[in-house]
Amino acid sequence: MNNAEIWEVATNVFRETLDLDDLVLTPQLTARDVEGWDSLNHILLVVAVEQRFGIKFSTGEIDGLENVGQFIDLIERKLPHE
Amino acid sequence: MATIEAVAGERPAEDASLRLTLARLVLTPLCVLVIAGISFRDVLAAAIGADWLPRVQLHLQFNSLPFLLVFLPSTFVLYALYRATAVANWMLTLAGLAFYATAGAIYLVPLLFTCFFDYAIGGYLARADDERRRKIAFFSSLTVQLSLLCLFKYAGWISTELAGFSAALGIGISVAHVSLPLPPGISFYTFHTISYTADIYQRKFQPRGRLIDYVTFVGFFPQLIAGPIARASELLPQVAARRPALSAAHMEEALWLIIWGLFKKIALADNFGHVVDQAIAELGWPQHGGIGYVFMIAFAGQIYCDFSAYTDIARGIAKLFGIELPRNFLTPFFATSPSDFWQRWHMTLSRFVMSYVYTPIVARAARKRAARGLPISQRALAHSPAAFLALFAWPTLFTMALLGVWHGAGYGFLVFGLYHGMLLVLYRALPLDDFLRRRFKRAGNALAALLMFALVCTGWIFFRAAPGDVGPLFASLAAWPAFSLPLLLLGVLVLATELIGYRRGTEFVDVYPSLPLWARVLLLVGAFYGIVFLGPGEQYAFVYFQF
Repeated sequence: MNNAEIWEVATNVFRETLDLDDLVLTPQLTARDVEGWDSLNHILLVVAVEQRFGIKFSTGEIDGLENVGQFIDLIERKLPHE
Repeated sequence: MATIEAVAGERPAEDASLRLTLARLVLTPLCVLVIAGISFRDVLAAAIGADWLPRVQLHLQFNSLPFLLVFLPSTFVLYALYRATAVANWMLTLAGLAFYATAGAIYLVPLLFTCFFDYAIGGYLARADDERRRKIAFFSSLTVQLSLLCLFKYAGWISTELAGFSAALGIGISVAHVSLPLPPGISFYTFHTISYTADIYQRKFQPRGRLIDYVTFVGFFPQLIAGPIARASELLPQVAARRPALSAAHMEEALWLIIWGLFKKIALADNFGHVVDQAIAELGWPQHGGIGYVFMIAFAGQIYCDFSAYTDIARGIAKLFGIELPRNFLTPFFATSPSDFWQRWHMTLSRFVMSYVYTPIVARAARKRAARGLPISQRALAHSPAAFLALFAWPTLFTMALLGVWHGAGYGFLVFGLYHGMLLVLYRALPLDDFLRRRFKRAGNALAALLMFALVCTGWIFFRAAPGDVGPLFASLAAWPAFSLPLLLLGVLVLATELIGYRRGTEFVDVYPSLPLWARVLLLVGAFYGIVFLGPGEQYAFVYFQF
């Protein structure tokens, strides 16, 4: 999966989980910028991403994410490299 | 003090300065003697029968003269003399342990055990690669630490309850009553060592390896007894680093934090406490309608001023030693919803339970649902009661119940936790604050804050009142609120300072550095006079020392 594909799949997961159909993800986007992205939905987002990409995050990783860019980087690192 | 700091601050080549060496030679034994003398004065006087020893005995109180005028300056001088060397943290730690030992030298045993045990586990967690073994090591440390905490905090309560049950059911099993003295600060230092192993386990940071830095982190006396609960990953690197010399501006800020904290404790919290005690006494009179209002508002004022004062003083003292402690409060009585409140009240505790309790539970529940092919989304939460219960209501109630009993053994704390848990659940299902804002715009925000304040105050009844007083206090709410002039005056003062902080998005205490000189002088002088003249005469211990 290349970087553009990861962004596309992640955008879909975010839209579905937060129930925001026209959400556009950018690397600098943080939870504070998005209505409804609270601590509970944050955990649901991480788990939804886990399911979609077939990876797993530790509790510390769930906690430590500061913006979408970091989130995508982490997904990229966790995906098996072909 | 300033001269010594200046001498230490020059850092001449390889500390060869004659002045510094001389200062160390003269002041080190003097300060060590003074600290040891005031820490163990009573023991020493009893042992050698020397009644002529100065009657200055240190206790675990920030608001006491031996602490402020003798212990703190001596420790600061020691630290300043050795700041640029590896000995600095030794000085801080030994002084801190002497301070702690004033409560009873025996309490050093559980503290040091907890400390060394988790240091060993932390070292292993940092070295090991095998994830299964790391997990076993981490969870064994967690089990040991939590068992110790429970043993000291809850064994007495649980054994009494069990004895009661077995007697009530007529079972012939006799349950021995266990009663252990509570080591001061155990709830706080246990959380500090847990955050150390947890942060290493989650690979948030790598320990540097110096044992003394770690002991300084756990035993750092400003925060040892009642927090704030700093995370190992934010505090340990500061402790391990060589700190720069204290600038005049930092010194002023540190002293302001301490003085403002003392003012809040002595002039505000203790006077609120006096009103609370009077309200309890009035509850025994036949005419006590409306006294519940006075009780809960005065206690809200007392616990806030008391605990935030402790935090301010702890932050100020830490600043003297070049360490920044995290904030614990952010104008909590302007919160408009329960989740807003917990992001403003005892923030380091809510952050701790959020990271280490709530997040793992919700993540686990969400993974379980997802594995069964069930949706985990905002929509599922809104439309499926099962999803709402599994992903939000149960984890929240469990976490808040735990947060409640963390304060101590007793049903009052459990009910307090569950009550706040239910408020969180209620507001998630029915966002009253959003409704008020939509309906009344700006006034809606104020209404939401007022409603939240009333709800929080109600919670304090469970937290503070003796079990037998809870019923009469609630019953008294049926009448019109009783009037209390001291409460009104104190309330106006707190509200005014809080409003200044709130409008600037910070705490009042942190507005100080941005003020002009005349305002800073006015505040310092005002706070000083308040400390001297406005105290209620009787000294109250810090509320959070019992937890």
